[in-house]
Amino acid sequence: MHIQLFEGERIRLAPIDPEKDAETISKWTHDPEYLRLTDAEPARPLSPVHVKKKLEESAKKAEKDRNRFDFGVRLRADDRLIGLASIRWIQWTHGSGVIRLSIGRPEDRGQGYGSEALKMLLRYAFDELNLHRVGADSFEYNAGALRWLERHGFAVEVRRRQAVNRDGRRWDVIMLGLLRDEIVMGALRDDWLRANR
Amino acid sequence: MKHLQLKGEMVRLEALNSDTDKEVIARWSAIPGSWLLLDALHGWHRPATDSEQPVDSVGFRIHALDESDPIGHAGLFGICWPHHEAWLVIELDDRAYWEGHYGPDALRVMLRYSFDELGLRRVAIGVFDYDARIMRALEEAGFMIEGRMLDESSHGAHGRAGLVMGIRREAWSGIQ
Repeated sequence: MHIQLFEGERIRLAPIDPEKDAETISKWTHDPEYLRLTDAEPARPLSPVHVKKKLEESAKKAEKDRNRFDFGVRLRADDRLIGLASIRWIQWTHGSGVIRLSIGRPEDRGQGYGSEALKMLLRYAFDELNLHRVGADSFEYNAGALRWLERHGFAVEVRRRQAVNRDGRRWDVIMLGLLRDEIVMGALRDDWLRANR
Repeated sequence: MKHLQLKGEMVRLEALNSDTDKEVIARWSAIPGSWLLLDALHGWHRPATDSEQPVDSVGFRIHALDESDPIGHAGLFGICWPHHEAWLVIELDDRAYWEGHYGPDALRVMLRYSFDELGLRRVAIGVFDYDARIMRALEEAGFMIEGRMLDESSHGAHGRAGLVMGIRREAWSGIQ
């Protein structure tokens, strides 16, 4: 049995080191666009100490509840941390979970790193954790992410109307889902088969 | 949707709580029960009631119907979620209830909980090979012997074999 879970072509899914990675992640939080594309919480820059504390807390919670897996997305070339990837809120009895994925610096976006990370995350969710479904959500104003998720096989399932209030108007929160069978049959099939050959 | 019953014909189960059931848990831990092999190896007496969902174990008190004092305890431990497998333990601490089908009834209720609520695919249990009565009860419930742990010498059982018995969801569904 040979399957490569953590090494992709250009990136790897690696552990997050609260000590070493806090500085990098803190820099991302100084970009409001990064925060607003990824989270509904009020955007605010976080100090490295604050980031470190948050990382440690979520690692501790993940250890206790065992319903969450967090990875750092690193470039294989120089091991630089470029993003975060996780599977959260896993309901084991139902085999369902929710993914979150972000690429920190604007110049690292649009390079295909996110797509590579997404495929690896899905392979981990479906092949290693044996989940049955994976959810993802985004905001109406993040059209790029929504299109990108649909291109990777996700279907829009829920539209929480006017759930987010930003820039003086209300936006819908869109929840999408991807079933195990769909990834085998659908848009990702060729990638999937190639990777699991 | 089926109506899930944590109740059989003789017993009902209630969730163990690590705070309120401290005394009961301590009392049980001190009693050499009948199915101790895997219990001793894994030590499941850590009810995970303070997490949102069973992390790797879940525990119940066993009550005879209409009685408030528990007669034993049951649980699943070593739950391996990606593969949907777990180890089962059932102990009737009160010997007065060893006769009268309380054990098999608790076993039925636990299997229903394992397969219908937790969605497990396989449940395993540890038993000593001299425990013919319990092995018979397990076989009647659909368990099959999967392997022998030779020379298992814990709890003074020198020269006895510890057996691993298991039941798969399909086998369980078949005899429902």
